[in-house]
Amino acid sequence: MTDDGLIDGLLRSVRFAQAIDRRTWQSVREVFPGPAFDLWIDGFERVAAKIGDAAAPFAFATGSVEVARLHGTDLALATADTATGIAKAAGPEAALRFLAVLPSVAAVLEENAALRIWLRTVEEAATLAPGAASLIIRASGFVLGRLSVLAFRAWAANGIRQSAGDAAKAALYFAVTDMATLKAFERDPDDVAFTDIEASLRAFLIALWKIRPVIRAASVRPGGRVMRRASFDGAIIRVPEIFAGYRGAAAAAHYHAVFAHIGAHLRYGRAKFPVASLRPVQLALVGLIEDARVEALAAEEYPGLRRLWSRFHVAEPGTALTAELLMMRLARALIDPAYVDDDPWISKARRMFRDARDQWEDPAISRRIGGLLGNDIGQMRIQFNARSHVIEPSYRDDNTGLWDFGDTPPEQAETAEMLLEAVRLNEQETLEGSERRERDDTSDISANRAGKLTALPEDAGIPIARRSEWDHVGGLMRHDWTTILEFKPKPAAAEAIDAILADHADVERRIARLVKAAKVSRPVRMRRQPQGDRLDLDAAIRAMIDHRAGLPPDTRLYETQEMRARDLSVLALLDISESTRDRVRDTTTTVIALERAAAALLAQAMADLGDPFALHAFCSNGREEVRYYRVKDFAEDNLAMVKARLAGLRGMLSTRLGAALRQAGAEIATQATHRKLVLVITDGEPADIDVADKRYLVEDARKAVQELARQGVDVFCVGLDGGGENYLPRIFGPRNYLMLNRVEALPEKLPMLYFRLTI
Amino acid sequence: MDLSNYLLTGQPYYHPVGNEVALFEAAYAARLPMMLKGPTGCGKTRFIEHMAWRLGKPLITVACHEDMTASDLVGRFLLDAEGTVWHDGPLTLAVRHGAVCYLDEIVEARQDTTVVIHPLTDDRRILPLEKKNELVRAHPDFQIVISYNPGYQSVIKDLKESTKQRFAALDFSYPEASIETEIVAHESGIAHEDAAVLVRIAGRTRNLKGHGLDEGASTRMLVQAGRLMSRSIPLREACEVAIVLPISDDPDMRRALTETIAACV
Ligand SMILES: Nc1ncnc2c1ncn2[C@@H]1O[C@H](COP(=O)(O)OP(=O)(O)O)[C@@H](O)[C@H]1O
Ligand SMILES: [Mg+2]
Repeated sequence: MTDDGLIDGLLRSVRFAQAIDRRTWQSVREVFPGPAFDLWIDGFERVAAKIGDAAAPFAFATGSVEVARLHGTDLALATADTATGIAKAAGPEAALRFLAVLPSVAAVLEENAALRIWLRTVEEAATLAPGAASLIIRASGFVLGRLSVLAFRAWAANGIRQSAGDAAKAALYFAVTDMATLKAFERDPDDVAFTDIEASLRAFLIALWKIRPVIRAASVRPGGRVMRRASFDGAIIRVPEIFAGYRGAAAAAHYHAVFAHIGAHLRYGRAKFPVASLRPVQLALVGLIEDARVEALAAEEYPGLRRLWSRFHVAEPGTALTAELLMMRLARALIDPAYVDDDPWISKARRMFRDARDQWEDPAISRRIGGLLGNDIGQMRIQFNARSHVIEPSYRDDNTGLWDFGDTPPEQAETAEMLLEAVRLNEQETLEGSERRERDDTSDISANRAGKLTALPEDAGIPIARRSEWDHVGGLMRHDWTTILEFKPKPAAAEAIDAILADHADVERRIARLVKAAKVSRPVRMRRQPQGDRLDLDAAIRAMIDHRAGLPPDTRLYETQEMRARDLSVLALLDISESTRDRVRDTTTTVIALERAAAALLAQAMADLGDPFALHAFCSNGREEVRYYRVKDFAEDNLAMVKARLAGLRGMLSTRLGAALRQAGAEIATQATHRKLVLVITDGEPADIDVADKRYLVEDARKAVQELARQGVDVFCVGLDGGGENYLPRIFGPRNYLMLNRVEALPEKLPMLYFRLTI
Repeated sequence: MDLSNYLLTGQPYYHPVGNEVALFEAAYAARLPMMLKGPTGCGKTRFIEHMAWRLGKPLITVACHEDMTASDLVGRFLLDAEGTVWHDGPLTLAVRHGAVCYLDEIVEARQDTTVVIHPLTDDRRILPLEKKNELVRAHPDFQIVISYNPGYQSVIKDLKESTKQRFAALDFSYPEASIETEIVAHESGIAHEDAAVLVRIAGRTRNLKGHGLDEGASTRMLVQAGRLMSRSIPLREACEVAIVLPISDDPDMRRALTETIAACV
């Protein structure tokens, strides 16, 4: 039989064949027919060569056969790439383990797509966290038996991030087999979490009221209890990560109702009410009337909001007279004109509220009406339990932001709970401020490492230039006023950058597509060519005319299409001043970590695109010490080195933007391209230790931008600071800056912006 | 040559926003080159049509685009039975015979194309036709007007400083609410109060400029939504089709816009 003959031949010819018994060979032959067999042999040989362990060939043979049976030959052949990829990144031991678990994972995962995701995940894990790859692969069978593959992916990514290269931490994390921990990664496809629609909610508030609050999502309150209601204080909003009981479209509507409600508070509320001597039930009712008041005003402005809110008011008249039920009915009565309720207390409240209509603008009516209604409740001898009270409907916030607790001692037992809550909130705020620095250092491993390394032998930097500075008060240019010192960036391990990049893997792909488009899709008509695919009509006519006039005609009569050469060089200038060490809200990432990742992505895109690209960073310590770091010069092309230098950047000192801009201008001036662009990424207002006048450095930076423009250098700025509107347009001009509301989006937005600017 | 084809027959409806009509009349009297600045769809084209009609001058409009060459503006030789004939381009036509020449969205044209207008914008008021070896002196009625959208964020596509400096400018922005309502109602034939809601919605979307949108909804978009409504499409659907979907591809932004529109009605 020919098959047998072939197999015998193979048994002899393939180097590693001895390790495999005849039966396995026959299955291989069976499940990889025709050309697939050649591909399989190819994969087999690569696996055997790369893993270099006697057990590898057999493990691959049995594993790939199993995968082929369950998921088809394509995926089975792909496992060879995964195995060699893992071997390369994390060593033979991890690759061997991968081959060993292959049959069981293939059996657990029913869908081809799921297996594909798993393959990708373990290979990525091997690259991102070589030390942890084995652990992740070993746990795969168990975890996938309990979680979807996407949850597995989230679980692995989280572990990699948390352990950040620490072997002991990783071992602990990936050994966890406790269901509750695992389940946390499972998401119902219909669940809507805050982060899913955060961008929409932010835009919603801006559209309605131009409000741009700080928003933090949390699942527990500072006290440790489950967070059931949103809460705001000043311009900080806290929202539950997820609202139990709402799914799909209803959940999205619910979140919009939450934000519209808080927006109404922020828009129509005024100073906080003093708690003074109000009793708990009065506090609750004043809050309820205040809710109704701001909602009524908002609904006058935006009638649709009444509809949005009303759907969550479902209280009905009933006989049970508890304070909670009455309040729910009252809340509905005040917003829903069609709601009928004959309860005398509710009717009275409705009347009072309506009669105050022309004073709705004034929050004092909430205090007055709520106070009176609270007295009534007391006289009706209805119990109110402040401890268990939760504001209804659930889209309304807990109203702690309405109250000024002053320094009234918590005399009344009932208010103590609320007060305590408020105190905790405040504590939390200041705690965060003071601890921030420390926590940063632990959350930002590589920066920390680099920091420790450089702390002692910190070299002084080499002076490379003196730059002038504009004094807007005196209206004069101070020549050679600042000293630019070049500091060598210290390389560090690039894990932190890689982790962020891994989060943005899809962005990388999108950028790659853009790069491709930018490279090829800009055809230009080349006229008057000696040859080409089309006749150049103008040239042809000209030749005819010359011909008739008896002149020798030009024979360049054709036109062709050619790719437009991009003629642009870019210098990205990173602000690495102290403030970039702040954590981005709701995350464990710092601004500078995001800057680094964004710069890495941009550098990658640039390398592919071929635009000359440099990456410099700056901070300052007075005018004699403007530090300048060349993370990547125009000529440098070692991306790994660039990443390592990026990873070593540490946030410190101040922001003397103008001096840095002038230096960057001088750097890019040496480029021969037609267009030159300096792209500044900054997170705060220019400032320095030796300058008290806030406007001084802003005006100087503005001057620097103008100087660069005159030299033919365009400057564009990406601002990461919420207050940027106040000075960025002044410095860069109204069109030449972009505010990023969500700093987290920087790695994605920066390269995209670049393409927008230059295509 | 007779430019009567280029004369506007009826009065183009234009609702003034400030004193732009008087300013433009003065500018025309002095034959100043004019630049109409403003976001797309805010009434620049309508304004120049209206002014041409007021001044009783022919209007030649050129929509600029990337592939436009100087010959597309100036003219070229063509072959005919007897030999070659020169064919004036739209710009030359306007220069020779005295029309207002409106170059719409001039940044779209390549910069080597736009420089041909330079000699027309200073005291010389001439147009050299190199190929034809002719120097055309501008007709006394000729005026050049360009439109320019400063919101366009591209360093590659921007007007050269040397071009910009040759023009006097009128700044167009979206009209204030009452006027915009008037315009939308007039142009689409819907009731005033419906138009007012559209204008409110537009105001909200304009808050999002720079926060997820490059531009808010333009007057043109409102007119289009209004036209759908006048064919009995409900407001929210009309806005979805004429505003939300065209203005953004980002699902988050679309959701925010849809919710905002719902809040406005
Ligand atoms: N001031 C105005 N008076 C009358 N119609 C206007 C006015 N502003 C805008 N429009 C309407 O908006 C539409 C778009 O305006 P258009 O002039 O084409 O914009 P632009 O040229 O600025 O892009 C017009 O067709 C017209 O219906
Ligand atoms: Mg409230």
